[in-house]
Amino acid sequence: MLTTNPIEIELTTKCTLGCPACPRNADDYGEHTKENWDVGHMDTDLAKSFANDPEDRDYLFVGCYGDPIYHPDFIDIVRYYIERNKMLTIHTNGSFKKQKFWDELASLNWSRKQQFNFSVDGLEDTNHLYRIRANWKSIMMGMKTMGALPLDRKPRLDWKFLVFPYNEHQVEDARKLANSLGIDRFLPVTSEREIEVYNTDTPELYEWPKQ
Amino acid sequence: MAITPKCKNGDTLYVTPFGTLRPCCWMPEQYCWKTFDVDPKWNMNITPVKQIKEKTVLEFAESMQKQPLGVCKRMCSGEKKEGYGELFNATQKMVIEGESE
Repeated sequence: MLTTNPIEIELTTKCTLGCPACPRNADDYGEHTKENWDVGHMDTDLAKSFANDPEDRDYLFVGCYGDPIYHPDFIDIVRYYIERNKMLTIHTNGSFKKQKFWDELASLNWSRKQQFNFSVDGLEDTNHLYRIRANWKSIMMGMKTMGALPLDRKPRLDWKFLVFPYNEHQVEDARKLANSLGIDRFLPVTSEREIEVYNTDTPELYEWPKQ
Repeated sequence: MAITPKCKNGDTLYVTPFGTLRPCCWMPEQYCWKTFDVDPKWNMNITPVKQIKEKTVLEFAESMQKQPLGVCKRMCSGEKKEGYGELFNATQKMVIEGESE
């Protein structure tokens, strides 16, 4: 019997953002010290090797310590999984990649077995409050490029919107934007973590509406 | 403290960039060096991944229910909050309702 649960694979520990509650930046995880978890990129052959097992069919490229799109061979690895008809979900913040990257990614032979999960918490004026250093222009570039693919070779596209007091009023506008970009599902979600975890250096996390 | 380990169904199995396996991504690193990284039951070069997902992880989840690590208490004991309904889990796979694979 085929296994049905995804294997979560961390392709890299590199990320461009500085989200306060991320284990990369939070200081309340005790033994999660940077020298222990910042091990760089997964070997490309190793990353591909998981897709060779016919028993496994479902994979998740997670962003626990890094964002998978920053693996230098990300597109090559994803192509390998697609060619083997694997179910694959990719979590990303979508920032700081150029149009050339998204065009090359969009040229792959996607199907609805694959899924992109863009984690974007707000609109242009708020997303960067928690997702510090996020680049709105490049996020929109990625969403627009992937969202424009024809359905027969388009991955499922999710926009996961983490709701904070300061961005709650933007949920419906973001939903409309998601629809206009060709996103399949807009997901406003609340965190199971306490709000205090998010309040590292970002007082705006408590404040809304701003006066 | 009672916890409900999210790993008990084998759906949070996590592979580090080194290629080592953990029951989930929240395991503290020093604990891993002493356990998962040296235990043949967690070594996918020795034990098939399928067996790890279906047996080894369950054994770990059961042990955490009896004597949970601090991180397990923090991440697997929370109650659902009121609000937008969807419980956010950093590593949760999103499944689109109504669409088959």
